[in-house]
Parts: sequence; structure tokens; C-alpha cells
Amino acid sequence: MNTVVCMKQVPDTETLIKVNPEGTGIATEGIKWVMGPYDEFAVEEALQQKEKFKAGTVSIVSLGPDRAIEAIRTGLAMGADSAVHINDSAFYDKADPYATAAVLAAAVKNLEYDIVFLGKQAIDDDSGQVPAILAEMLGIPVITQVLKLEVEADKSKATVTREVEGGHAIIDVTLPAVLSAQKGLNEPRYASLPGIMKAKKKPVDVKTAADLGVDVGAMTVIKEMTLPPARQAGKIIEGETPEEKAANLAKALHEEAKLI
Amino acid sequence: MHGPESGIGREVFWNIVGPGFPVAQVLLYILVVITILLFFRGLAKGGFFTRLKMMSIATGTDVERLNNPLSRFWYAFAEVFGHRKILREPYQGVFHLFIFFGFLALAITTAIVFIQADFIAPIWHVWFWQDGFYLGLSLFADVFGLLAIIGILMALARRYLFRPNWLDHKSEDAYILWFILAILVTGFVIEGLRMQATELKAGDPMFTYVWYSPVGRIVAVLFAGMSDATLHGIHKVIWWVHVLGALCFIIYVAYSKLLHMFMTPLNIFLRPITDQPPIKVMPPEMFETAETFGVHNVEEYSWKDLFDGEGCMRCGRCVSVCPAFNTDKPLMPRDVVRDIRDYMENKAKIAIDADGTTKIIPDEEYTGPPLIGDTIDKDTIWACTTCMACVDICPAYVLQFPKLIELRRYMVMMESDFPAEVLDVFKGMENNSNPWSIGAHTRADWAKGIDVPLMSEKGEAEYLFYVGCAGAFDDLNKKVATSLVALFNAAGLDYAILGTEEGCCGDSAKKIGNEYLYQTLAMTNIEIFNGYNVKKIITICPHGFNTLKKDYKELGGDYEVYHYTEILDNLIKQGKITLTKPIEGLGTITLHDSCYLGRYNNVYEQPRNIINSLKSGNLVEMEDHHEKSFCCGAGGGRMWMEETLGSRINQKRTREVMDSGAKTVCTACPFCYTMLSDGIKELELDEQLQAFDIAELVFKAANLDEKAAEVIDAQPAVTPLEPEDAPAEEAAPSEPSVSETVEEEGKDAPAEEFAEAPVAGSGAEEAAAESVEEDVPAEEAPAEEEEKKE
Amino acid sequence: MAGILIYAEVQKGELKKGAFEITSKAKEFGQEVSACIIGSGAEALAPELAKYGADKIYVVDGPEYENYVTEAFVQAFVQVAQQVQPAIILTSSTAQGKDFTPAIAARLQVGCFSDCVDLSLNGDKIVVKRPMYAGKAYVLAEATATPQIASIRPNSFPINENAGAGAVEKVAVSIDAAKIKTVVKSVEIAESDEPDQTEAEIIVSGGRGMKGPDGFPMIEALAKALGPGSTTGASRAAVDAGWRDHAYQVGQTGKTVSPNLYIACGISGAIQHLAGMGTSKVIVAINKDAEAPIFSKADYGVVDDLFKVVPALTEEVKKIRS
Repeated sequence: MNTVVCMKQVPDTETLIKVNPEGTGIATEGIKWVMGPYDEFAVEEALQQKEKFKAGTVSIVSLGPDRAIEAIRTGLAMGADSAVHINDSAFYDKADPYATAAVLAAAVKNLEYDIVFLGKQAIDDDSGQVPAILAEMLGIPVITQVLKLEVEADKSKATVTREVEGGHAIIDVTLPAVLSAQKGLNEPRYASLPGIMKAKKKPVDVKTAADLGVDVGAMTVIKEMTLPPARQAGKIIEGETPEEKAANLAKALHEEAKLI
Repeated sequence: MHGPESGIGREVFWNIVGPGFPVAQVLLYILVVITILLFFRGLAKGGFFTRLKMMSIATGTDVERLNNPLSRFWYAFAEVFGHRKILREPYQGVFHLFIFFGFLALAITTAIVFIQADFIAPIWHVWFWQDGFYLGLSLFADVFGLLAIIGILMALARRYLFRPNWLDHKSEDAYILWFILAILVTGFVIEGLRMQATELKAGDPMFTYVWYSPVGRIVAVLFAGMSDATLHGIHKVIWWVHVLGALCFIIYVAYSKLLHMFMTPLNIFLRPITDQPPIKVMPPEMFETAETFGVHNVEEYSWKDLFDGEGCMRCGRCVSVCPAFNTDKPLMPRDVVRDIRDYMENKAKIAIDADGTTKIIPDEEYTGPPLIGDTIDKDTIWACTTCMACVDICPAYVLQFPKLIELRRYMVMMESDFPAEVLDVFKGMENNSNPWSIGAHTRADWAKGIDVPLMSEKGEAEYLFYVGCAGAFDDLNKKVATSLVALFNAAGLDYAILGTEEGCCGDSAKKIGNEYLYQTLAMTNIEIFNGYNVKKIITICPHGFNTLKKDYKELGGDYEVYHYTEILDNLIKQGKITLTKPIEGLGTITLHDSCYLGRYNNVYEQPRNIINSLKSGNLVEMEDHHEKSFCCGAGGGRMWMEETLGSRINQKRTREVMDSGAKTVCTACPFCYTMLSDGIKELELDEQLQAFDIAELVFKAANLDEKAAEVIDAQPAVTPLEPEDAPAEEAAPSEPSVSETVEEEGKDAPAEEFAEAPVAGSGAEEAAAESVEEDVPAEEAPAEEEEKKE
Repeated sequence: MAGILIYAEVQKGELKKGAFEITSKAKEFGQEVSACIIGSGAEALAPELAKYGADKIYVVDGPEYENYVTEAFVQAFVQVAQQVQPAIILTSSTAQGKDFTPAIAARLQVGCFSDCVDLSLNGDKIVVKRPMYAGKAYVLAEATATPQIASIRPNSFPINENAGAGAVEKVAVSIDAAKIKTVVKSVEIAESDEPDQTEAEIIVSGGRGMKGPDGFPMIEALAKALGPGSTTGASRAAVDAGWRDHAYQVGQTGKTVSPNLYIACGISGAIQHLAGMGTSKVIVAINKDAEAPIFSKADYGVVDDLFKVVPALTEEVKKIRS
């Protein structure tokens, strides 16, 4: 069972997000970078499948600047075998899903795979588009938001449970395929110390888009990035009686927060 | 020559060795030689030599064990003969004292008789064992022999009549007691028989001195009226029983826990003598070179870790004080030590070849039961709170719980095997340097709007105030941090905080077994500390206190570290803080000693001094206090784990607080504060009991100027602080203090906004805080009245 | 290329509400609004869409579209899109939309925007507003190619009745079955089946203030009233007290959740709890104690008896949702 995991280094969910002076992206200083949380599910699932089949490789492909090597090493420490680090500012600066998918597809094509795993979305731009675009570019099917995976012994097919609105669907898919991992797929492992040590010695192939023969422009342009208004101090819902307060709360949730 | 020249004394082999060739005496010599040989054979058969061999291949690093031999000797001597630790448990202590000195006295007496009869008399023909010396020694031996019997009876009573649940009971325990009782009793019986046959006859030179052998004299009554022949006959039989029994006893020492009479003193001699933390540091360079971390093969312990099993004689004191055991969790520190010892002995069967060469079995060749998960259950490994009670009370200076930490290290670092809920703690520490995964950039938010000097602005300060994760992030403990700021400011202390430059101290990571993460966190802090040339540090949390003070030293961070109670105690003594304001509603106060403050660092009196300086309340002690303080349940990383086995440690401790009769329990540790506050809520004792951190009480009692006092936003006067869940629905009507004030104001202003942070930021909030401060005394009154009605 | 093409999602034989929202919004731009409905029995649904502004409705109907199969739907929609030649394609950012939208963009070899919360027109360019970093930042973005594709987060726009021409055209699409490499075996959507806390959109959680296990049916009723995607949770105190199974526990030692709405009933909000739910988009606290720390984290607070507020809230929610 050979898998490729496309993974992205993202700011830790708790990091303070500030806008850069140009107003087109975030200011990157002081940020704690981690492997994307959904990507962790993807790496874990790839490792579990490899362990189940007792054969094969897990390769990581990641687009990002120099610092992305830390997240790549995390994946290698978890147990992945090798990695391709696409270090090309023309691509990672764009943060464009289409261009990202193009460069990832070019790298993936050079690797052996039965399944290409990704997190369902990177938690920085939250686009969640790369899995589908990548599949299109690789010419293989895609199933997003995967909750469960069972691969048949001959690796020709897999049965996948994916999240759908208000429930889940069970789908048979012909392999190779692109699968994107949703929370609930598994519990990612904590890299062991020997894993961390070994990861330092595992091969990481650094490439540029030119190396991969990719020349794609961005399909989207960020014009302006802003921070949402500072969180409003909470409101105490007023009312004479508990019932009136309940009614006012329901109204606020419906009209202001638009959650009901 | 077998007797005294004068009539005051006695013949040594009376009734045993007759005139002519001393057959019995020679037989006895032969038996003694055989006994000594059998003793050494016993050491071999009993596994002692095997275990020593296993210790010889142990690979774990260890500290110097033989430096300062003289001071080591005197320490061990004082400990053994002074029974200092043994007597911490009075009943067991006293009976051990009786048996120990009883046997010692009898051994000395026997030795004197042996020297007299077998050396001095045959060689120099001198008989000194007579007259006053004889009488004195006889009395001495009788009295101590009697004490030994009393001791044994006390021990038997405990074993058979009121055996505590933490005392295990193996066959050897019974054998030994009955065995030595039999030896002592037969000794007195032969004395009684001899006296009845000789000294008690009118006209015997000893007749007037029989009460110098009081026990023998009384025992002799049993034989009054027997004929001389009968007396002689019985005496001869029982004498041999006694002698053979004593010799067998010596052999049995080699096989049984009695070996502790040699090994325990040796273990005390070998104890660590530096002020070194009980959990060994892993040298940082290990992370570059070593291939395995922690222990999963028994040989990976250090030889001394393994030798601890020899020092232990299963007295069970460590079990009796263990908070995990006492709340029905599967941890008995004694059994950890003994199981490792037995496991090692079993493993020796395959580790030692027929020719005696000892080798380490590689993992892949070893097929026996694993140490982790089989010999020592994983639940046992995770149950420990590292409270140090076991180590502290152990009379043999065995380090019980650190052996579990070594196993945790293997599980965590090698296998990533730990309770699932710990994963987020590790990730939080790695990514945001706190166990809650709260954004690291918010670490100084607690100090927003209050007057706290920042190290980065001040450049240098006498003290670094290391706030710690709880003080910085936890609402309950932020109040401690802000209280201390007010007090330090008022006292004019030259201090500063690191703000967002501060990081997690790493204690929980270390104790959970993630030494790698701990060292990463520690190194980061040390680098920052050293960057500011920090010399002295004040901490809120005793865990940080201990870690910064002792553990950081091993990584190159050498600081004078103080717990805030030490600082406050001093400031109060110097008059820089004056405690004049009464605090209503404190009632009787008790202090919960934090493990990491007390047992780890011997800070017991400073918190008490502070409480005694308050003008309110009076201090009572709980049943378990000082060294015997019972853990709150949060140490050793247990704070971050579910407590699914047995009952809850914090609830047990809360009940102990209740039993003390106190209305207020004081803590000086964020973990303890949280656990006891939770305990009060869980047991629904909110009406009867409240928890406070000492710093909060000092803040309330201190005569601070208004500006200094402003740092704290409306601390409720007597309402216990919130643990996880507020008793919201049960809010006591008798304690209106703060909430109603706020609510009243709320009614005037529609869409009332409430403060984002618990620290007064805006002017309006400060005003509210002040008004609350003023309102408090007035509003106390109804509360008190209410109480009186009850 | 001109006009706007809407993809109107069908679930369980009904159009999803999001379809009406984007149709209403598209209508505001004064361009021709087309819609495409793919599904079994899709034709019958077309008139409803016309009410909100669809001028032309392309219907791909057939029993084979009973279940959503990415490849089949993409092929069908792309054929419709090639026929319509729209400048703008809008979809809903539902679970299906998140799967479908990037796939059609890839097939059309253009970019797309996910999960947009606002939309405006700058000449012939759409300018989308969408959250990044879990809502910690927002960007305004434009596409460089046509058609411009955006999926819109449900509940972003109001539904306005503004009838369009509503011409219905049944499109016969040719599906290349060889390219369909997935087979949907079953779809399980259970109204009563609560989602896992970690995936739920709304969590109603109870703490010590619930006073006992008997209070929990009340919050279950509220969760049910809030619709699918809602579930219940509990604080550690409630779990420890044995009122609730550990599977429900939210917090440091339980589950870490990030729903759109978290309603904390009788939970004071100790740090252990906040660590598990602090990233929820909107937090509502219902607690008798105005001093409970949860209020400092809440967006909406009700200081009152939860045993009165929660049932009343349930009734109000039912009213709104019906």
C-alpha cells in the first residue's frame, strides 16, 4: 500500500493573527507553525494503512517555505518514509488552491501511490479545494471529508465513509483515488522520540515548480485582508421573566448571529 | 572451666557439657560452622547473589554512592540506632524498636558469654562473667529479651488482630514472628528450668540474687515441684531446641526479608546525599546519542534502583501513605519495588548462563513477560501523583515512585503510550507553552491594565516573578497572581515579570515522562532567564518552584528560587506588609500542605506564619499535615488525566479538611487550590467550607493604599472561588456580596456589558471594583446573622 | 459569457434553503439568473426556485441522480454550464457544495472561492468576502478567470421572494460512465442521530447547574429543536457526577469542539472547560450566577434559572424554525 500525503504547515490554531502592512496576508513573525490538524489525520491514516498491509511507503508532499521542513519532519517523525518539499515562493506566496494543486499534482505524479491523502482543508486559508482539484489533475476520483476507510486486500477498491449533510454516505471507490480526511477518521499519534531522531535522517527532496515543470498562474487574487472587528463584549439578554429572556435570546441568535 | 570462680554467676554449659570430653560443645562448634556455610548457601539459594549479578549489568546511570563515607556511615548509624524514620509510625516503630534492641542486647550477651566461655576461659583461664557484671548482664538480657517478646506480641497482634489493608501477609511474615518468639520463649524456659534446678534451691550462692533474672525467675514457677531429673531432662531437650532454632534462624535470614537487617542499613549508607531531585535527570546529550529512553527492560534501571529492592522489607509504610492506594487505585509503591526485584530474579534465569556470565537479553530474543503492562500494570504506572509520601516515609531510603517515572519515560518517549487526554497537554506545551493550548500571546493578558513591571521594559530586577501557567491563564489562579502583584508593589519589591516571554516550566511534562519536552521547555526558559541575568526568582506554583530550583540546575539554570510564601513571610516579618484588616467569615482555618512545597522542599512553616499573622481566623491542623500531608491528586501530571479508577483523591482530602473542623482551607499551590475547590463543589460542601490561596487572604488583610488595591477586580469576600462549575443554581442567598451589586447596576443599564478579562481594565470596572470593596463589610452583616440563626 | 448560474442542491427530494439564499442574492445583481437542479424528481422542484428569482431553470432529472455522486454531478453540471456560458457560478457551501464546487472549477480549469460570507459586483468581477484562519481574518478576493465560481456559506443572505421568469428546461446530459469510479452504497441521514460533538454545528451543554441527570432531557429537547447538526454536551462536573456519559464530555480531558453555536447551561466555565470549547463561534451562557467566568467568554448571557429559560428557548426556537 503506497500512499502520498499532501500536507501543509499552518499557524497553530491559537496563534494571534495580524495583517501584514500591505494588507494582503498575515504578518508571519511570532507565529507558531504546526502541521495542519486535518493533515495529521491524513498522515495517521496513511500510516495505519501501511501498517495494516505491512508493506508500502508513505511519502509526504508539501508546498511551503524553508520553515515548512519542520512540519515535514513532524510527518516523518510520525512514521512517513520520505518527503518532497516544494520550496517555491512564487507558489506558496500565492496561496491559490488551483496553482497549489497543480504543483502538488506534478510532484505526486512522480511518486508511487494507491491513495493520495490530504486533510479536508488547510486551516489557514480554509479553502478545502485542493483535494478535488488535485484529483481532477491526476485524473482519479476524489472523496472528501472521509470518516472511515477500508481498503480491499488487492488494493483495487476501497470502501469509504464520508460526511454528508446531516449524516454519512458509504461509497465504494476504485483506486487510486484522492481522499481528504475529516476529523473523526482516527486519532493521530504522538511522534516518539526515536521517530523524531530517525526523521532527521529521512530523505527530503527539495524542488521548485520549475523542477517539476509547472507554470500555472493564480486563479484568485486576495485584494485585501482585514481582521474582524474585535469581539464584542458579551451581551446580557434582558427581560422581565425567564420566558422573555428566552424569547430575546432566540431573536438575537436568529437575527444577529444568524445561527437559527 | 565452665563456671565462675565465685558463686555469683553461672556455669555456661550447665547440664549440657558434663565432665570429660565436651561432646556437646564440639558439636555446637560444628553446627555453627555448618550454619555459617548454610547462611551463604542461603544467600545463593535465596537469589541474593543472582540479584547482585543482575545489578552488575544494570545500564542506568547513577550518581556517586560512596563519597563522604564517614558522613554516610554516621547518618546510617544514627538512622538505624535512632529509629528516626521508623518511629514516625509509633506503633510499628515501637515494636520494631523493642525487637531490634531486644535482639541486639541478646546478641551482645551471647557474644560476651561466647568470648568468656570459648576464648578467655580456655586460653587465659580467667572468668570475668561473674559477680556484679554477671548480675547486671543477666538483668539486661532478661529485660531486653522481655521487650523483644513484647515487641513480637505487638507485631503478631497487628498481623492477626488488626492488620491494616496496606500490610501484605506472606508466609515468611508469620514464620519469622513465630520463629523468633519461639527462640525467645525457649530461652526463657531453659533459664527458668536451670534456675528451678539450681539457683532457687535454698543455700545456692545465687539464691538471693534470683531476681536479677526476673523473667527466668517467674518462668521457674511453672516448674516448681518437678524433680531434678525431670528438670534436667526437659532442660537438655529444650536447650537443644533453642540452640538449633537460633542457628536455623541465622540461616533463614539469608532466605527471607530478615536480610534487611544488613541491607537496609547498607541502603541508607548508599542514599543520595546531595540535594538532588529523586527523579534522575536525563543528560541532554542523551537525546543525541541514546537509542532508548526510560526503562522497559529491568536492566535499564541503575544498579542502585535495583538495589532498593534489597533495602525494602515490605513494611508497607509507603503503601499506607500513598494517595493512589488510599483511593482504591492499583498502586502500592512497595509492590512496585518488590515486583521489580522478583522480576529481575526471574529474568536472571535466562540472563545468567550456566558458567555464570551475565548478559543483557536483546528485546527481540526475550520472550518472558514484559515489565511494563504485565509485571507492573499500566494503570499502576499512571496512578502515581509523585507526591513523594512514599519516599519521604520510607525507613529504608528506597526511592519507590521514581521507578514508575522511568517506566513512564519509556512509554511516552519510545512508544507514545499515554492516556489519550495527555496528547493535548503535550501539544499545548509544545505549541503554546501551556497545558491548556491557550494562545501563547495571551500569557500576559492577566496583567493588562494593572501596574506590573515587565522585564523587557525594566531590563533588570532583583526578583523575577515567574507567574507560571496557572497564574497567567486560569481564572481561579489569576487572582493569586494579581494579589501578589498588589502586595509586591505595596512592599516596594524590586521585581518584574516576563510577560509573553515566559514559558511553561515543564514540571507536568517531566513527571508524565516526557523528559524531551520538559528539557525543551526548560532550556527555552533558562535562555530567557539568563538573558535577563536573573539571579532570584519568585514562583506562585510549588511545581514551578521545585522545577526551577532543583531541576533547572541540572540543565545549567542556577537560581535562587523562592516560593511566594517565603517572600510574603519575610515581608510581613520586616513590616513591609502590615496585616491589619480583619477578614470576615474565615472561621477556623486549616492549611493544606502542598507536596511540592512541603515534602519536596521543606517549606512548612512560612505558610503557617502567614496565616498566624492574619488578624482573623485561627489555624488548626488536619490529621495529615506537614510531612504526612495527603496529596490533592494533581501532581505527576495527574492534573491532566481522568481519574477513572477508585475514588477521587481530591474528595478524600476535602473530607479530611471537613474533619478538621475548619471553615476555610488555605492552599499555596494552584493545583491544590483547583483540586480542593473542585472537591468542595463535588461534595456540595459550599455552605460549610471555602478554599482560598494564602496570597488572596494576605491581599484582603493587608493595609494597602487604594491604588495598590485596585489591581484586583472585585474579589468576592467569602464566596469560595469557582472550580469547573459554579454552584450557580445553588447560589447562597446569605452571601450577596458581589453578584448582586453587579446585577443591580446591570438593571440600570440596558444591554449590560460584562468584563472580558477578570482584571479591571476600564475606568468603569475599576469603579465597580472599588464600590464592591466598600460594600463588602456592610454586606457581610446579614450573612453573619444568617449563620447565627442556623 | 454572461449571467449567473446557480447550482441548487437537492436533499431528500427538497431544495436546500441555501439555494433560495443564493438565488435571492443573485437576483440583486440585475443579471440573468439561471439555476441548475440535479436530482431525481428535480423537475418538480423548479417552480419553487422561480419564486426567488430564477429566470431559467435547467433540470437534470433521473433516478440515477438520487444520490450525490461527485463525478456524475460534475459531468452533468459542466455540460449545463457549457450550454449556459455564465460569467458567474454560485453554489452553497454545504457538505455537498464543498465537495462539488472545487471539482467543477477544476473541470472548467478555473479557480473558485469557498465558504464566502458576502458577495458584491465590481464591474463584471465578483468580489467575495470570505473568512480565513477560522474566522480570525477576512479577505476580499477576486478571480482572474471566467467563469468566476464561489460557494456561499448558508445563512449568509436573506431569502427574498422576487419572482423570476422561471422557464424550465430539461437538459439531457451524456454521462461518461467509465469515468465514474465511485458507487454510493448507502446514505444514512438520521434526524434523531446526533452528530458527534466534534462535528456538530450546535452544541447544547449542561454542567453542575443541571443539578442531576433529570435535567438533561431538557437540553436534549433544545438540541433537537435546533435541528440536525445539533447535539448535547456536558461539563466534567456533570460527567463526574455520573449524570452523563463521558462520551459527552467537553473540555480539557474530554472533547475539543468548535461549533458555530455553543449553549452552556449551568456551566461556570472553568479553564478546563474553556480549553475545550473556547473556539466556538458564538457562545451562549445560561447561568443563575452572574459572576460565573463563562460570562466573560460568552457572546450572549442569560442570568436566570436555566430550568425556566431552556424550555422557553426550546419553544422559541421551534417557532422560528417552523
